[in-house]
Amino acid sequence: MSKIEIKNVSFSYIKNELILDNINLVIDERSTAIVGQNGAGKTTFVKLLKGLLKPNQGDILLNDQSIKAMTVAKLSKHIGMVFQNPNDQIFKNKVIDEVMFGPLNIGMTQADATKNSKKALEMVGLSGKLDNNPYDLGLSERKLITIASVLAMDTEVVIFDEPTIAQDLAGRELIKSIIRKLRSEGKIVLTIIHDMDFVAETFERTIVFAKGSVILDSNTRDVFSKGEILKKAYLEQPSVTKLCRALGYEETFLTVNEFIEFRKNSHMIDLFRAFTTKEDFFYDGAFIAKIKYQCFQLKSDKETYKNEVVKSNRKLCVINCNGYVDNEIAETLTVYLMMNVTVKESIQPEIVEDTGTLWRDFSKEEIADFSHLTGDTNSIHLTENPVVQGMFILKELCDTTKTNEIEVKYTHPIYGCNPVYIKREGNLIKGFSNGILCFQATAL
Amino acid sequence: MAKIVVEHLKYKYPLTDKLALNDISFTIEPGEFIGIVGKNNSGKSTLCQALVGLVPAFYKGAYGGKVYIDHVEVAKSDISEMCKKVGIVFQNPFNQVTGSKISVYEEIGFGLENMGISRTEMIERIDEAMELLDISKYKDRNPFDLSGGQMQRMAIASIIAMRPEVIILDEPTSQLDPQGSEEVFQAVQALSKKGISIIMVEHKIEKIAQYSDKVMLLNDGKLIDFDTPQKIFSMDNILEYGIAPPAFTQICRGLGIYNKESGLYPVTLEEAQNIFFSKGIGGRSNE
Amino acid sequence: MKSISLYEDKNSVINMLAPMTKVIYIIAALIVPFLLGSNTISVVFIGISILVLIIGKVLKRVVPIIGFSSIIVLSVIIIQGLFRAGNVTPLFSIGPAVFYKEGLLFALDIGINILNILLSFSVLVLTTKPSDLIEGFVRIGLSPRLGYVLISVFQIIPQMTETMVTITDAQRSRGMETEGNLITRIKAFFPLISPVVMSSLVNTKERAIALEVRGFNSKQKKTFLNEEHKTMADIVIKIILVFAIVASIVGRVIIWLK
Repeated sequence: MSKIEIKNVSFSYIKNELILDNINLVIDERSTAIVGQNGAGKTTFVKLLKGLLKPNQGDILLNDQSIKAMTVAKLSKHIGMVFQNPNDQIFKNKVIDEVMFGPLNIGMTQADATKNSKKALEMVGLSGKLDNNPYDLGLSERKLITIASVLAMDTEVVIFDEPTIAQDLAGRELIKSIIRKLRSEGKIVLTIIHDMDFVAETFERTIVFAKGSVILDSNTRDVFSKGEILKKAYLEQPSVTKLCRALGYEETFLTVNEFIEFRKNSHMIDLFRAFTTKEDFFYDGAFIAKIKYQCFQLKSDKETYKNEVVKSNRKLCVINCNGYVDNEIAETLTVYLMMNVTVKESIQPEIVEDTGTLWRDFSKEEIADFSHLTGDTNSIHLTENPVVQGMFILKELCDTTKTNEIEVKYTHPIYGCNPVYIKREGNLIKGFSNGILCFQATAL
Repeated sequence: MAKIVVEHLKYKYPLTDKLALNDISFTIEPGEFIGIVGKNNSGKSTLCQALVGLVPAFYKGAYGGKVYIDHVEVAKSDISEMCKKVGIVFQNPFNQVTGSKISVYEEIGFGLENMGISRTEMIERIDEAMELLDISKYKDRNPFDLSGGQMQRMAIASIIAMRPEVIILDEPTSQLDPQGSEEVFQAVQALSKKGISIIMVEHKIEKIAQYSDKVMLLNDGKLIDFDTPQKIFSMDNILEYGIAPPAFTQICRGLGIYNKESGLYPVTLEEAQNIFFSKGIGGRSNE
Repeated sequence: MKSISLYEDKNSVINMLAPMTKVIYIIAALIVPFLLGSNTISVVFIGISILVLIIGKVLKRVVPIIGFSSIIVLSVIIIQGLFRAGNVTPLFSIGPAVFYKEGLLFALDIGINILNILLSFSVLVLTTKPSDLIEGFVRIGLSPRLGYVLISVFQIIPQMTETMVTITDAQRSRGMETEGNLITRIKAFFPLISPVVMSSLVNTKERAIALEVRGFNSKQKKTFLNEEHKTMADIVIKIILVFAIVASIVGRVIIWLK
């Protein structure tokens, strides 16, 4: 794994005007955002990494080798940087030639340079414009060309300088996916950026610069939790974080989906708990044959719960668990509970060849957490408590399908911690484990 | 007070096939704060240029329809005349510095000299503009020695000094850091409070939702809708137009929380907070 | 980024004078000695210039200019002193080289003229803000657009050099070598020049639009924010200088008629 060490680095352009003051950092494989007000030293820092400036004091090591003595051109084989203004860089009259400039400079063969350039252009979505003149394309496309120019050099480290400026939603999503892809390829990705929402959605680590020093350096969630310190550096928290703080949550939420999931989950769990703790269903032989969940409106901590036994005989018990808000039903759980039925294992279950794609590989911890939440502190295997299993699969399916109405029929238990695969057929989702059909879900 | 009326505006840049503006019509009342949103190349900048007259005077091309500002038809007027009614601020602060003046004070006076304003009145207007944009302390500095945010405020002051009744800002904060952005938004809000019509193109959706009276959604050169931020950002298919609603709206939509009376989702932090509280979610008031 | 100019505000009396006054001074300093064919008058003007520069507190800045020109003058002295056609009267000799009076006098003539020109221009350049100078010309009729072009050069060139640095950084970080032998440096030319030209064109276009929407092309007569330099001293000096010029023209005619 690549690593950059910045050791005791200080830098000033003019004597006595320190731009960077004794910076100590280790850049590892986590995607990293560098934020801070203009003039805090971010650009200078990044230029030092690129070798465009040499530190007055201290040293910078790339994979344990000092870069102080290397020329910029030699260093560019390992560290690539996408500059802010494409007009400061583009000079060829064909897109493909422009992108190949960098790779050829650092010593790739013509064939390799061409291959890498084409791949890079595909990554930015410009495969159809290889022979166009860059200046015939719009500003946002020219920005993508400069990104491709650096990607084609296949450096271990990629630095972006304000990639999201003047980009619209599609552009930002594209850049997000490029950063994620680079990260998954094991490259170090560093970005100077002002868009805090984008940082929250994309980067694992955030380093905050202020007045030439690093004032915060941690995983993104941790950094954005420190609202007061950020304010001193003239920075804001992402919109989602701000809203959740304003609502009184102590946790730091980073993205829209995160908060929505959290709210949804917390409600479902409350409903499950209302079901499991109101009646005692954790006895031997009970398992869920079918379970249905409907959500009408997700609201309120003022929700009250009421269980209603619709049908009850020796073998089957049907229970409705309703959550009420202002006397209106907010969500409903309908459970078909089979009891005192012996599962005949000798029935040959149908073994299917094509079981679809891997859905979940439930860990013991996940199951234990869920069990605990719903009131059963004993289960750690899915098989140990089939009722817990039934609810857990339901919850996971809701998360996957993001639907407000779903019905699940269970045909076979899932054993131990075997992985579960799913196959979608229209509205129907079939779940398999060990080649056996275990459940069928219909999302509405 | 200047009312803006656009009737069936169509425009095509020279040497292109596609209509950059495709039959756009709308009216903006005096004193409104209008946000323009849309994906890249949807016609936002072109519309701004058409409102000042750069389209068609500067950019040439094929032009159709009418644009009236305060009953004066823009396409038939000289830009030098129109600039007294409508001013425009662009994205890049550096390229709006004339380069011929050595102090911020003189720089702001540049447009006034061109307009032939008397010296005493020039001084009054420049002082007023600097006060409004909070840049009086920089009056003796070289324009190139300012930060991005300060430079943009100087650009806005230079336009304000010409006393237009409408100011158009085309992505004025794109190249600024968060503090600079905030300075510009606050300055623009102050102008709006004074009764100047503001038309702003921005990608920072949360800011547009916060400051605009109405939002215009463009796509492919066409005007899709022109309504309150709540209405526009509550559109079910807004993602089709390449725009994501404010984060607050997305959260409320995902949780099915909306204003019962209007049937619309909140678009600002305050609105979202209020709705959540009224539903009993969260309970502590903000710090 | 500061503008490039030799001007420094010393807050002296000379700074207060109108640029036009100094321009007329230059005209006088050049024309009067020329018309009257007198080196003495040149020397007088040299003296006046030096005096003015001292009052303007900028004499020190003149020294490098003088130093530079003295090299030229020295070479003229050597060449003319040794080899001028018509050299008959030897004055002194250094080793085998013989310096002749005629040549030396001729060289002295040239030297005095050069010095006069340099010093009178220095009076203008070292004590006048470029923007004031251009404004002075615009007030008397120079096209404001030309005036803008002239003045903006001072400010915008430093900006361009900053852009050049960024462009060089960008290309170097794509592996382009800038240090090394001549071939390497030549190869670096195009990747640097092209973005410089293109970005200048783009910036110029955007700037032209910004100027346009601030009424730059208005047909209206332009006014000036700055107060016009018009002190009693200006008027008096201008009258003296114009009188001197007219007197020298008259003098020339008289000489000619004789």
